[in-house]
Amino acid sequence: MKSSRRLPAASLQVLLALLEGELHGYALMRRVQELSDGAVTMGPGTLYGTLNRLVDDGLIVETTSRRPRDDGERRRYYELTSSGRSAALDELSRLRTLVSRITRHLAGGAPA
Amino acid sequence: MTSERFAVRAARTLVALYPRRLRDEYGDDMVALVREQCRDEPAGRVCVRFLIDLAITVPKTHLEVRMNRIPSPVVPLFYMAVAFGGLLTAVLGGSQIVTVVLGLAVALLARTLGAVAWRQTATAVGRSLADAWWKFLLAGPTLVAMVIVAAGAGVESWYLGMAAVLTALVLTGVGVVLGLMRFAGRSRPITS
Repeated sequence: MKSSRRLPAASLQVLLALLEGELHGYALMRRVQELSDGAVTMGPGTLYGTLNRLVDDGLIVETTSRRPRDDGERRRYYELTSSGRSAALDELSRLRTLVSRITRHLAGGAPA
Repeated sequence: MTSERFAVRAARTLVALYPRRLRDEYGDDMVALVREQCRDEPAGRVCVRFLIDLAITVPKTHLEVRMNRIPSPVVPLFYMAVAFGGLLTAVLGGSQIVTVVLGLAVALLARTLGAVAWRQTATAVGRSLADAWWKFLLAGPTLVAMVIVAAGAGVESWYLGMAAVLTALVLTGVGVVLGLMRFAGRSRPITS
């Protein structure tokens, strides 16, 4: 189902970070940091508050028990659901369109 | 090592500030995250970042939990009472145009706010109120009967009588509307 609701910034960051596959909390935090060139560092409250909302909204799902883990730590893994993936791609496309429109507008120059 | 242990212990203690649901579900993960961060970064920096994040997210998550609770009809009912008060003031204002205009303005504004508040709380409350339509319908005539009995008993208060009659009219009107909604199946949940 396509939602017209705009995603909050933290949710979008998490969804985009999960586009490449499942991640656990710490890896997700690092991935968000990496994707934003270090500009976004999520604290535990922001990260898990966001994960909680995304799970509730059905945009991500916990995958910890799907396969045995050998990382020796009790970690919880998350991945995108199909609606989460489509929400992330929709938002990405919206942002691309916005950037392209603004770039075109600026390149055209403001009328004197 | 000591500072890492301190950071983890502080995190474990401070996580208790989050709402119970979030704490029960993710409290251990939050502490584990702080532990993992301390392995890669200085514990002092991790602590400062954790405290800043805590200061922002604790009130926010508590607010979210409150807003997600089963809605209460108190706010819309309060606005409706104010609207009724405004209407009453306008009616009792008589020839004083300022009082009439002010009363009507208050009534209109409060009625609008009440309708908006009602739309946001109409899930569970709407159903139970619509089911109780007949109580509203009975309350109106009961109030009028009480006024008649009081008048018969010698109680003379024109203002009180008018207020009671107007309240009875509003209650009956609400009862009729809720009854129609109930039978037309229009008391569906409204999602925000």
